[in-house]
Parts: sequence; C-alpha cells; structure tokens
Amino acid sequence: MTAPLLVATGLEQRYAGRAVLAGIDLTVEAGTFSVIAGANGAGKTTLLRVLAGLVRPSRGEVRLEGTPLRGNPGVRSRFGMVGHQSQLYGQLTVRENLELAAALFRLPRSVVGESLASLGLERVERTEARRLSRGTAQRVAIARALQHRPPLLLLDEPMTGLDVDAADRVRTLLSERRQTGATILVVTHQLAEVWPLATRALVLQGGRWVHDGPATTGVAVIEAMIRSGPGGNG
Amino acid sequence: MISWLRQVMLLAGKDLRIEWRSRTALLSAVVFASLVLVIFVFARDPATVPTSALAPSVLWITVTLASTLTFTRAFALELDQGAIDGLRLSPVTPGALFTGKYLANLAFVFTVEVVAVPLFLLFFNTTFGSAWPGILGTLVLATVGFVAVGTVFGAMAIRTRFADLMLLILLLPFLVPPLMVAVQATVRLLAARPLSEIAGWLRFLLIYDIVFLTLGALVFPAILDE
Repeated sequence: MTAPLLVATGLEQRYAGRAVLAGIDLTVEAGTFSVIAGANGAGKTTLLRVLAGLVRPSRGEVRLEGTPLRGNPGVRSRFGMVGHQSQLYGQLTVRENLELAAALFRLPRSVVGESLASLGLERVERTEARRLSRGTAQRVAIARALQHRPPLLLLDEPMTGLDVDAADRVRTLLSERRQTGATILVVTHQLAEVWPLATRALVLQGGRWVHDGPATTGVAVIEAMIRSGPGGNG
Repeated sequence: MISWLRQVMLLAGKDLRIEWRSRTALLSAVVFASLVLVIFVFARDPATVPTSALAPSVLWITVTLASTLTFTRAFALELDQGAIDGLRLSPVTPGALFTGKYLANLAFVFTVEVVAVPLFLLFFNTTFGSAWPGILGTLVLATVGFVAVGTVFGAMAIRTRFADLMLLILLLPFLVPPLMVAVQATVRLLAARPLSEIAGWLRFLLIYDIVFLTLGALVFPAILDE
C-alpha cells in the first residue's frame, strides 16, 4: 500500500473568534478525484486555501508526501490551484500570463501553446487579462494551474462562468490528468458538473465533516444532506 | 544562484512591463512632484527665504513623497485577482520576490528622480555646479535604503484598509534618519563645501542601506505568509 499523497490533521481555523474549520482530518490518496461540498460558509474555500499552504491554520498541519507545508514553502509549487480569483495580471495578455508562469516553473515556451490549445484560448492569447469575460478568465486560470502538470490539483468552483463547451473541455482535461496520475480535489456547489469524474464525496458543515464516502452515493443524496444542515436551504 | 537571479529578473521585468503599459504610478509620481515644486516656488518669498536654505528640503520632500506613491502600487497589482497566490504556488522564493519587487521599485524611484531633479533645478533656477557628483551619490545612497524600507512596508500595508495612509505612518520613523542626513549633506554640497565634509553622512547612508536591505530580505518571507 502506498503512502497517501496529502494528509491534513486537526485543522482548525478561527476568524474573529468564529471557528471556520473545527478539527478537520483529511487523507487524500494519489490518483483520486474528491469532491468537497457544503453550504455557503461551511469552510470549503478556507479548507482549500489551508491545504494549499496559502493560509496558515490556527491549529493542525498539512503534509504533502510526508513533507509539512509549514516551513517548506517550496512544496507549494507541487499544487495547481484554481481559486475564486484568476491569479492573472490584468495588464498582461493571456499569453504573457502563461509565459510568465511557464518561465517561473522553468518550462519550455512550447507548453504555453499547448495550454492555450487545450482550453481553446488561441483567439484571446493577445488580449489583456483584464478585458476577458468571467468565463474566459476562468479558462485561463485553469490553463495556468494545469500548465506545470502538478501532481495535486486543488480546484475551487472550477466550472464557474463556463459555458457548456468549456465545461466539457475542462471535464475532459481533468479526466485525462487523472488518468496520467494526478490527484484532484474539487470544491463545488455544482455537483452534477463534476460528479461523473468523482471517486469520493465529502460534505462540510460548520467546519466539520458530516459525510465522507465513495461517490457512488447519488448527487441528490449529497444535495439533500447540504440542504438539511445548518446554513443550508432546507 | 542562476535560477534565483532568473526569478528576480522575471519578477522585476513583469512589474516594469505592467507599469510601462499603465504608467499610472509613474505619471502620478511625476505630476505629484511637479505640483510640490510649483507650490514651494510660488509660496516662497525669494527676498526673505534664499534658495540655498529651502532647496535641499524641497528636493528631498519632493522625491520622498512622490516615491511613496509607487510602493503600495507594487503590491496592489499582486493582490488584484490574487496574483500573489499564483506566485506563492510557484517555485519563486520569498527572497527572489523581495528582490524583484525591490529592483522594480528602485527603477521607478530613479525614474521619478530623473524627472523631478531637472524640474527642481528649473523651478529653483539653480545648478548643482561642481557638487553634482556628491548630490548624485547622496541621491543614490539615500534611495537604495529608502526603497528597501518602502518595499517591506508596502507589502505590509497593502493588506490593511487604508494602505496609503498606513504606509506613510509605518515609513515615517524609518525615513527620518536618512532624510535628515540627505538634507544636511545636500545643504553642504549646494554651499560648495568639500566632499570630505559629508563623508561621514555618506557612510551612514551606506550602513543604513546594508542594514535595511538585509532586514528586508529576512522579514519579507514572514510578511508574505501572513
């Protein structure tokens, strides 16, 4: 049995005295596709940022392949992350943004062309990022996150703003990445968009897990669970 | 080392390219410097306040205040759309990020000085004469340390609600010593005193530069992780 890729233990995060994460343990095996669901304010985005090492937890630790994130910032470059913001420089063109990322990761320039093609971004490659629509910026953000072929992808609402074709492209890309060994963790409200790829479903409520199981559970069951919890609509 | 230098050049080049496209910080600083100079020129009575008494202070007030406009901008562009997260998730070291930001800020401030100093000479109808190597040396030494402090506090202040105000409050205590020294050195240089008379002050500026460049590189990773 291989060691898990990512292990988080006892994660707690408090903002202004309120516990956003209240003792989260998480073990992610390599090659899996996990979906994290939950109502607004359940702590999903905070959890993803803590797992990525972008936010230091009040308590607990995260290890990637046994190496703690704290004190080892270099480990973070093994993540590919799509967050609520595009992480792009508005005054740079799409191509320049991807070229900068490629150069920082010491990748050949040819990967930029591949990234553009993989998400159908050739037509906007010379457009400044600040002029992109929400959906196009999201596609560039995804291209940027996938470009260095990270072993672990952390995606926060990756389908936001995407039209049907773009969402299909992203699903295909994620599926391909998983087949080549990447591990994927997705936070989403749009469960149906990623459900066919999922191997595991987790539900977060009030900063705690209330469900963790294989994705054989139906989407409707998970959605009902979210609606019935505190902060849900039910 | 080569990889580190490459990161530094990529980051500084990115900042300069972005500023070249928008020119917002540079134009604001140049307009601000011109306004300060115009106000001082027209507010002063040449019969009662001689140029030699006022000029050094005006030069340094202009350069300092105009330059502070660039410090928050350097990090504002990283926070817009969360670009800083992209950098933190890349192999860029905090040291390379600090140095890249520092070099870009240094280039901005030198550009502001290149515009502000001739305007100062024009508005005050004066020349540096044979003092220009000493003035140039003082400008360079003071700017190198001043930008190091500004880069560190710019990174700290940008996450606060009133970033520009906070930056000035944080900067002020650290800027007073080099500014006093720079003004005193400039007064003597404009009065055609020998360079040896200000050697001690130039040494002070050099030590200030070394201390704050070192401190900046040391504390920057902690600021970045907060």
